[in-house]
Amino acid sequence: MAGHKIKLQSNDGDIFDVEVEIAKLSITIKTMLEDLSMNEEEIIPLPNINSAIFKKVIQWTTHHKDDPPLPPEDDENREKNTNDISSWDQEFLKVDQGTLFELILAANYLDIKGLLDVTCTSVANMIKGKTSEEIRQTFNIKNDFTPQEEEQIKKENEWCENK
Amino acid sequence: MISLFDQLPDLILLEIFSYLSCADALWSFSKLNSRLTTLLTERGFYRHVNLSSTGKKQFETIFSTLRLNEIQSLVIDRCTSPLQLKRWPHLTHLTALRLQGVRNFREGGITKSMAYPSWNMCEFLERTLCCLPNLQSLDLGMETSFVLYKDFCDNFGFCLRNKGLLHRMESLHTFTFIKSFKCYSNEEWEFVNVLTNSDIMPVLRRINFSVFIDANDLVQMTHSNLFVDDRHIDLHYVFMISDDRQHSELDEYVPRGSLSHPRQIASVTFISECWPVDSMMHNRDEIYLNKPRNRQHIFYTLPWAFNEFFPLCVPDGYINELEVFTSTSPVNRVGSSHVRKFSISNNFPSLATSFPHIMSSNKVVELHLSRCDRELSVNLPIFDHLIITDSLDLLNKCCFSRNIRSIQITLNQEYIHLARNDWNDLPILSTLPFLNSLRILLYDMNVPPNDISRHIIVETISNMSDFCFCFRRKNYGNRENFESAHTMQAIFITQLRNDILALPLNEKPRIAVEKGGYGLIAWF
Repeated sequence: MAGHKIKLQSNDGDIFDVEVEIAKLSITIKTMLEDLSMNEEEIIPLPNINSAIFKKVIQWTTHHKDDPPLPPEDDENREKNTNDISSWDQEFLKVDQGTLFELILAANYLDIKGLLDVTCTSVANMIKGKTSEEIRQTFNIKNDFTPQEEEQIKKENEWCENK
Repeated sequence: MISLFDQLPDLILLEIFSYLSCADALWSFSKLNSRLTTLLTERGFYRHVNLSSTGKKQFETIFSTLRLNEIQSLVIDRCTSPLQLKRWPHLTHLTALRLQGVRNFREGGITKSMAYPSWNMCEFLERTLCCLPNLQSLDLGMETSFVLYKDFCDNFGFCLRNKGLLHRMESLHTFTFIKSFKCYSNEEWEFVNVLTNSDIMPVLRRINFSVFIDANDLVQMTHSNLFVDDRHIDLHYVFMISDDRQHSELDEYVPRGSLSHPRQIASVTFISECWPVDSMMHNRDEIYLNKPRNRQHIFYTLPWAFNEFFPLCVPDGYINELEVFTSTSPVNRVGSSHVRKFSISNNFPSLATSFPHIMSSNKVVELHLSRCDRELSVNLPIFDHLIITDSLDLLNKCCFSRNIRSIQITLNQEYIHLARNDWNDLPILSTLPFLNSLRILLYDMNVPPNDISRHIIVETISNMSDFCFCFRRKNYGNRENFESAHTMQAIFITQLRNDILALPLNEKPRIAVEKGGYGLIAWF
């Protein structure tokens, strides 16, 4: 029913009144409501999401509530489309890396395919074309290779540079 | 609160990896740390390899991280530089090979009847396929790039057998041979028939093939081993037949699957009043031109087993009648097939746009724009590969997808009035972040682009990995102005090569100039 709301609680205790139709864009919440017969008066806890991220999720789902469903992937091993990101989504995703990663985790936990798709696409676009060293700097990735392994990698790189 | 990439769970990293190509993932993440290397392995990037769009240095760096004897499947697609193809050694443990629109130089160039791009199938059989003893799946979906040599010999099947080109493929159980409607060669059925014989493919279990045949092939087909022998092959096929006879006169000859796997057949007949002259359709032009009505029949097995519909060789605009012959069986359906190639010619979009069940915008891989000179009225789908024919002016009139990986620009002298041919809009391509392959083909153009245009071309390609520029001649019989034209073209190619070598790049590109100086390939 349009306008009907449910209460969702983030892991830091904030309670959000969200329209059922918008909340149901999350397959996880939809399943809770439909399969687990949760009472709509009950407060549904979301233990994996804090209020700042959940606000962003609500903002995204509200904007995309009338989007057509994404087509099913036909081949699991195939590279997924990194379709152009709409200008609204681009603006929405102008956030720091930590927030972007939290959004991916939230989209995954809540099972919101569209949000997962656009956030992963955004990270993939940050990655494409960057060398390992640039990626190490961009994402501050720690090196856990042993000195021997490191030496081996250097040798291999020298080999291909001299080729 | 997670603030670092490193802290993301494995499943999320694998999800992010699924949005990256093999080349992007290996280039960016190999040798970063042991966890990421494990995840790359888990995702299969080291076993299922596709380095098609890589530049020279990128290819060499990634190549050094691969354990060649662990590669199970290899994909080589239309972005692959022909110069990269030569770098692959024989992968004796390879179980799956997929070639998608591979393009290569045709030696001899301008005076030959076959147009670039083409792939030397005989060389492939002789030098490559015989060195892949563990191959289980071979996909030769070569599309427009693949042409069997008509001048190879008169009896194609006889020559394949007797010139030692065919080797027994002990493990091959799945074979795919998808031919474009665009190219016609009357050896196609013969090629499939000989190659799939039980002495060459003894354990073949499944074949998907799409070929252009004539009515005589249909008669021979019913006696072919492919359809009747005891390998119990599951056959799925599409036959394209250009024949002015009525559908019913051909239908009775079309086989209904193999003996072991009977199939129902559905068909469509396209009727056009005139047939465009197309030099790719060898030996047929005069016949089509002399007859008032022409029919192209398509027969296909049900249920539809191909993941794409095929473009017709006749542009939609020429078709004025359509007859559809469907089966009454419940299996009469087209599954999840989609249009993968979308074409727009003379500013009119393909009829495919009126079939929403097959026209899914996120499934289109290739867009063909032919003789279009004004802003298009349709929303262009998202696609990876763009082929622009006689439509150079469109570059500044259309908003193309940022995802484009390859562009082929073809200009024909006969349609030059449709384009300004000044190349001034070419730098727009530099704004496409993922574009790494540009191929330019000029047909029958005696006068090469001027110095300014040449500089524009060279500046535009400086961030790409694959570049080809070729002069070609369709009317190869017409030798008028041939010598003077060739001299100018060869000078242009030499200057182009020098300009490319003078680019301020970190590493010198590899350049191959075609014999005779009709074209060049550069791999950056």
